[in-house]
Amino acid sequence: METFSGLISGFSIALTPINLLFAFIGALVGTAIGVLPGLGPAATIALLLPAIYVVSEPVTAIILMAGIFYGSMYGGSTTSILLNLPGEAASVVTCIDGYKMAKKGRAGAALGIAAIGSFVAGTIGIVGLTLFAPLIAEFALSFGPPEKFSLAVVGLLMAVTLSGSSIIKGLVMLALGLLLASVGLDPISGKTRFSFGVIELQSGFDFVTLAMGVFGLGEIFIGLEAAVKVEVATTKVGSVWPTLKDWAASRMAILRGTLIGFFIGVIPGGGAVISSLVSYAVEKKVAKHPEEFGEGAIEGVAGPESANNAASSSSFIPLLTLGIPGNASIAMIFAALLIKGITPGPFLIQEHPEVFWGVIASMYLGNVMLLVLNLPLVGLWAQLTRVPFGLMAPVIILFTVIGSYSIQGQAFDIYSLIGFGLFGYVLRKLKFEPGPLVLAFVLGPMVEQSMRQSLLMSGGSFLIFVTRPISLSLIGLFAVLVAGQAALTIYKRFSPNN
Amino acid sequence: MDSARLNRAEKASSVVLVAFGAFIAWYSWHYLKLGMMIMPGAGFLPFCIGMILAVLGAAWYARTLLAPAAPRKALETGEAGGAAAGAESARSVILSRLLPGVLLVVLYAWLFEKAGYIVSTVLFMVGWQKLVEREEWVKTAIVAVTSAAFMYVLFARLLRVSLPSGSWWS
Repeated sequence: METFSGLISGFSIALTPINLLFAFIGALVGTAIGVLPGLGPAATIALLLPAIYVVSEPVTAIILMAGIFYGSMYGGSTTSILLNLPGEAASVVTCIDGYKMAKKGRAGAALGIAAIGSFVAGTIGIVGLTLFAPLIAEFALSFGPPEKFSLAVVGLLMAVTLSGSSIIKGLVMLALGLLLASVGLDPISGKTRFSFGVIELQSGFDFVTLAMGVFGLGEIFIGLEAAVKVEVATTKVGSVWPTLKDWAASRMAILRGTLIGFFIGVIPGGGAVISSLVSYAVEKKVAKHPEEFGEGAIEGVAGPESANNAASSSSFIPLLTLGIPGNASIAMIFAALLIKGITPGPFLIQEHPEVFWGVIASMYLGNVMLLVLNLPLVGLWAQLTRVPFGLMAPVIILFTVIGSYSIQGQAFDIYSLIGFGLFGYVLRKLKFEPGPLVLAFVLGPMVEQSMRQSLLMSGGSFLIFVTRPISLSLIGLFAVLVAGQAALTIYKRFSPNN
Repeated sequence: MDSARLNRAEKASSVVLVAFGAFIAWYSWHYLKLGMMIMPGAGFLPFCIGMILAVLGAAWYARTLLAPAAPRKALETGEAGGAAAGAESARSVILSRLLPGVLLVVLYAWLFEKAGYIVSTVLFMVGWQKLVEREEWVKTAIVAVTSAAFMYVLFARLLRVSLPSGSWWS
């Protein structure tokens, strides 16, 4: 009943003209930038982060960011299907059959089923978020500093171990993210760390500058070097409404993808990636004609697209209830909340119910807006994929430079931005995944503060992290997941079929 | 980046990482102070991070050493020529596009407050279109003026961001 009344109050906030307008702007701009080749959801949100400084109400700012996140996810599907260019790892599997469908003249059907699947999965995911989030938040109220520390560290480690890329490199990213977060004044002793006499560094690095540099500018520098000429399959998309045959083939794939995405999406690290891969594998397994997969099977688009959108919705659960962002995009929404003076976590629902329920309600509305925007305007989005890199790159640079300058009005932030951009470029050249860096940067202050408070509580003993039941359970859960993954890797290596 | 060059770059980077981690640990221990276990000082977490970075750097170096090398035979035959041509082409792209691009962004940052938003942005866009994209003058002028105007309307008028008018002119 409390959930229902909370949701009703959330709708009363989300349905105000200003919040509706910002949800619409977020969805529209997120889709428009997410469609541009080479820009995934993380880069899109990073580029648009400075916008929250011009919105005074926190709930409106977060509604805008959530709209941008959803919009960019939708936009990413369009580039995967029309250009064979996934904006992020979660869209890689969409390329396999989506691009083949586009080449066969069925781009409209692929884009249509991706939009419908995303809408269904996103909506079911938000229903799950509505039902489960208050329960988890209530449970997390009992968390003290040791539990918070274990949760943050386990969340970060899971983000690395489950991402599928090199574990050593992922851990390096985590350590560097924590180190960058420690620059500036130590909140307890007041001592300045790693400022080396630079006054601007005494307040630490700005998250928006770091995110725009690593994701936005870094991506442009890589694009400059690659100078890839993308091949657009078609910009004539035709009808986006699936035929009865398409619908019959896709409906169960959408439902299976939704369930897979929702449950895997709650886990920090690669939720959307793993769920889209699992969904694709499941669809291929249960298909009557598995040989059609890879040749333009519509289930190969419907399942993974539904899975990654359901995962996007459920990834808000650990953010809003535990204060743990599971991926780089959600980390930026976490940072946006912090910038607006709101700490995500178990107290959010009690201290800022208008933000908690307002954002959830706006997600229902945003999902409808995206469906309405995407189906009729799909031809326009398809045209946007043709924007040449030579025009897109300098305009994005202008965005990042003016955006970083607008935060504090100082040129130092522009130099920091360029430094982070070059850092992002080097990371990509050396095959590092920058997501964990951003996650560690936003969680760094919480990790340090909860660790120091825990050590004070325990009289300086690290055993406190394994003697408290919830903390021990979290560490145990992580150990089981790592052991399971290691066993699977060993099995695959020594399997006779390999 | 081909696998041999990536391997060399990874080896060098891992050594840099070990040195960087050691420096962070030393700096944290010497200047920031570690404090006591019951009350860790400002340098405690950075010290731990420095040590972890050094260990991870060493593990990364060991892993690149153990990584399978490119087949010798392939290198001796046609692929060696292909790899050399690839490296040459990558170097040419870096010199013709990446380097001027990065330098233009640095110059833009330097000019931004001094020459003001309008002059610095138009100069940056002109420089980009001519030096990086090698476009003709008419297209360059149109792109430079329209993009600077569009950004001005978006940031200064709609979002009410205060853009610099230029310390050189005031």
